[in-house]
Amino acid sequence: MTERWLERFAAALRVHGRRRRRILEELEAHLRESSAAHGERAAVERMGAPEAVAASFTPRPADRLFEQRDRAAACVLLAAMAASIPLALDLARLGRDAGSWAWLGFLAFLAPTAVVAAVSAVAVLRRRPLGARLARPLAVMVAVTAAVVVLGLPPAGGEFAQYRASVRAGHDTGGCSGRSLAACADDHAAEIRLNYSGGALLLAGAYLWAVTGWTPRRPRRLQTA
Amino acid sequence: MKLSTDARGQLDLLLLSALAQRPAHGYRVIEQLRESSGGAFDLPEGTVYPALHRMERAGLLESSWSEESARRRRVYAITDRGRGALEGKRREWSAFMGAMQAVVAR
Repeated sequence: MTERWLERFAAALRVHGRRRRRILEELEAHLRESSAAHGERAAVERMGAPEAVAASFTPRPADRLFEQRDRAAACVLLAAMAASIPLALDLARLGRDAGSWAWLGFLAFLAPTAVVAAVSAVAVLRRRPLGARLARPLAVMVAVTAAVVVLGLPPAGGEFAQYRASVRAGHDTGGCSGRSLAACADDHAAEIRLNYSGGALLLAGAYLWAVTGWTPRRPRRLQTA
Repeated sequence: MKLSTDARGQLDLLLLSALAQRPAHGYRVIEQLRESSGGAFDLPEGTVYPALHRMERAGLLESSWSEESARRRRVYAITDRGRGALEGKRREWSAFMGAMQAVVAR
């Protein structure tokens, strides 16, 4: 009976972190002591409805923000994807100028990951379970994509070779002053590959944690002695 | 003087009064109030902990874990600010009681 009360209380408690652990420990200790003195049934009845008691612990702004972290992560994911569009358009423009189609293969390679990310983020924003279910496949897809890009495997290798050739030919030479175009091209390509791959991995990991981690809406059984 | 007679105000007054005597954990506070009121203040126990936490956040109480017995307990103690608040609440309560007495005893 005490365990059941604590389970219902924990499921309803909209408080997080250390404060949550403290509340749970305090109330469990109280119930144990009260049970020893008055019996388990009386102890539970004297506490009142667990949902009402949980609601009395007013969530702080930090708690409310923590509860919305999945949606915040989805917004960040969508914003990061939107911020990547100019780079994709630049790669496409440089490729077209050079008469190469490597960019198309590269973007086609990225497209499934982008689609899964967008569907997952929108589902998370709408509180659909699909969003969390897609987060794990998304993390795997991002990891594979990042590995392909960093290692220069096809189709990423061809695209970055074409990108370097475009910079060496005098296209997109911003930030190249004082350096040879060849060195600048190598630097730019390396920056794009490493920064975007590392950023995408970090973002995918944070997103995975945010949307699949614990929240009060997905209660777990409380571990009691 | 505007009198604070709502339930929260009275609960705070009771809890601060109990803890002004000596630091105690939640269960002990509830038992102490029950005993000292001759059973009249049999508080709904679920209301006590949120009130203790709220008053701690307000700086009226401080707390720490005590492991003196086999069971780990959170022990609350009144702060200087809490004693000031308690004095204010006692004055309000006396004024309220005086006003009630003046009306009811007429």
